[in-house]
Amino acid sequence: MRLAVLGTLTALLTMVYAPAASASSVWYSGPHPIDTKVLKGMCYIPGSHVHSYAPVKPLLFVKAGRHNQFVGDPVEYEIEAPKHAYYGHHPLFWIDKGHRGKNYCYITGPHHHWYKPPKHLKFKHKGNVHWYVGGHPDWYVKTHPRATQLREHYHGIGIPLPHVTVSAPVGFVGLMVGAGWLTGHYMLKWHGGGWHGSGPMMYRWHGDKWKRPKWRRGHWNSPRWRARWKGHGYGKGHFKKHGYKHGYKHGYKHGYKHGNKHGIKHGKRTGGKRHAGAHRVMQRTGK
Amino acid sequence: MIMRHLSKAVVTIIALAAVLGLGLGLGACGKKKKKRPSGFPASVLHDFKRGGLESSKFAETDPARYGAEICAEGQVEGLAVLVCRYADAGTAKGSEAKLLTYVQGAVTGLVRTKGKVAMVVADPDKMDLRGKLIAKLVKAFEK
Repeated sequence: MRLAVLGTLTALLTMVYAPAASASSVWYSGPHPIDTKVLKGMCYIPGSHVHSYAPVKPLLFVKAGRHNQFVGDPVEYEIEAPKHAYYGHHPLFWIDKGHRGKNYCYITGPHHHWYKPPKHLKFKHKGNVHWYVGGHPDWYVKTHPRATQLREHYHGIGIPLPHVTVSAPVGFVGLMVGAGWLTGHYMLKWHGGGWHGSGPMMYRWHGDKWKRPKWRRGHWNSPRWRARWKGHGYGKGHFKKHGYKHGYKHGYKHGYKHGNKHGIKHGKRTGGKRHAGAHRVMQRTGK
Repeated sequence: MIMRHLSKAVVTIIALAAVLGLGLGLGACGKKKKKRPSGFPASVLHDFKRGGLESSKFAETDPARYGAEICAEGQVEGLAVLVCRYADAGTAKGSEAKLLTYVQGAVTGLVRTKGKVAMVVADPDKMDLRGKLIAKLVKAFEK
């Protein structure tokens, strides 16, 4: 009986002290924030190493194999830490060995990273800030709406951000953050299934989230824009009288629909494109 | 007349400076660079010294524990350091798990290999929490 009790006690003690024995078992790669219980600051060790403490905020780390890699802003932990200014989303090249891989930075607006971008990736250096102009991959679009945690984390904390006084370079895709405004000069719009187009877009902070206005300012279909340009341009007579949209819709649809259908119905299809123009249809019916 | 004397003085000064410079240059060329010792662990300790790091005397330790040919441990700027030499580079790389046992209980630890030689650094006394010294040590070792 005594032996059994002793055995149980030994097993319990082993369980309690097991974490201490394998204390140095958390793997890191590259610089990262130190556990704030130990010290506030950054660990400067390059490459693979181990620590006795777990990542301070798992949200700010990406797991690459057994290694935890820091993807956040080092300024949050140490203002004097080595840093490079970035704007908007970009590939996490230091995780994907200098290439555009499966890891992306979703911090919106200006922020810092420890590393300088490699020359072979499409980053533009403008106004002391690195802008990624290489275009975003398809999977990024799918991941992007869900990867909001990181953005929210940095929206909530007051850390010194890079001071951006220039407009985005050509090719940059992202949001421009102003005082109380998000202006998407190079914004991609989500149209159920894909991101399309670019143009001026004004977002406004509504207490809890950024809201897009109903109409994009200057969009050809916005009520203001239509009222301003109704009756101007786009042909004469019918088109000018009824506005571009109306005229275009009826004119195009009518002509195309009847002409094409008629042609196919009454004439022989002698090859060529299925949706040939009116000229082609006339030729066919003529035979 | 005064001008002539002045120009002569200037020429003399330039000539003297040239001779002095030549002498200094030759002297510098004559200085021999300290040769890197070939023995183990003297060669590794030399690398540390060249990187501006002060190390204590390294004592030999049981190499069988780490699957190595020869091992030595000591302190570099207060950090516990173990250096081991293996039969080949592949064995050195493959012995990482064994070498990591040296780090047990320390706040920070790492293993690096350079050819046949492996280095383990541990910080049991929380000497270098920011890792600046360790980063310097790694740089000196890998150079």
